[in-house]
Amino acid sequence: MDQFGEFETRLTSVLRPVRPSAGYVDRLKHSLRTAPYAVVEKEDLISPLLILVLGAASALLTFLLLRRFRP
Amino acid sequence: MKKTDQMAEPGALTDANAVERASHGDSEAFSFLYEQNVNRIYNYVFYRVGSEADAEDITSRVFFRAFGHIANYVEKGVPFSAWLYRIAHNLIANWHRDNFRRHEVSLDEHIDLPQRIEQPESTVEQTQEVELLLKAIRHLTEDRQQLLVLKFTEHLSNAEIAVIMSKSEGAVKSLYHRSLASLKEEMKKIGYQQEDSE
Repeated sequence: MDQFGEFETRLTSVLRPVRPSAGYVDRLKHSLRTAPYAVVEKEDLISPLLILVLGAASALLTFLLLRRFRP
Repeated sequence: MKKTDQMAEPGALTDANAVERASHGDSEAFSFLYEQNVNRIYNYVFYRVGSEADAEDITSRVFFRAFGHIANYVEKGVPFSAWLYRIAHNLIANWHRDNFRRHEVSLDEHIDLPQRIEQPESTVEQTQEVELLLKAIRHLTEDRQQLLVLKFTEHLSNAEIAVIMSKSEGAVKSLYHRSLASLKEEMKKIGYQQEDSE
C-alpha cells in the first residue's frame, strides 16, 4: 500500500501553504467590520387587508343599521 | 478557589466562546474568528482556483457569506473552520461553473505572488512544477481536488477532512487513494516528469 509513498512526499514538499498579503487581510477585516447592516422589511400584507376588511365590515354594518331604522 | 481565566478577563475571546458570541451579533468575536481562519481559507481557495485575484475575491465572499449567516450557525461539535471550508467549496464550485473558459495563467507572470512559507530561494523549476501540479489537480473531480488540497496544503487528517466533506473516515481514506492514482494519471497526461527519487 506504500505505492504512493514517494509521490506523497513529493506532493508535500511542493504544495506549500501560501499566505494572503497583509494588506488584503487588513482590508477585508475592515470591510467586514464596517459592513452595512441592512434590515430587510418584509412586505406586510396583513395590515392593509385587515383595514380593508374592517372598513368593508363597518360600511356594511352602517348600511344595515340605516336600512333597519328607516321609517 | 478563583476561576482566574474567567474572573481575570470575563470578556476574553476564546475559540470556544467566539462562535457563540459571533452568532449573537458580536462583531469583535467574528473578527477573532476571521483572524483565526483567513489564512487557511485563502490557502485552500488559492490552490483550488490557481489565481491570487480570484482567491482574494472568493475568500472575501466566504467571509461575507459567513458573516451574513452566522446567526443561523448551529454548534455541532465540529470546528468552525469546517463550516467555512464548506462555504468555500460551494463558492468555488459556482466559480468553476461561471468560468467555463480555462484561463491558464503562468505563475511566473504573477509578480505579486502570495507569500510562501518556504525558503525564500524558490527556484523557477519548482514554480513550474507547482504550476503543472496545480493544472493536473484541477483536472480532477471537485471532491478529489478538495481532498488533496486539504491533505497536502493544510495537512489535515482523514478524520478532519471527513468532517469537512461530510463523509466517513473510511470513505475519505478510500477517496484519497483513488485521488492519488487519478492525479498520477493526469500528471502523465500533461507530461509531468517526476523528479528523480533520492
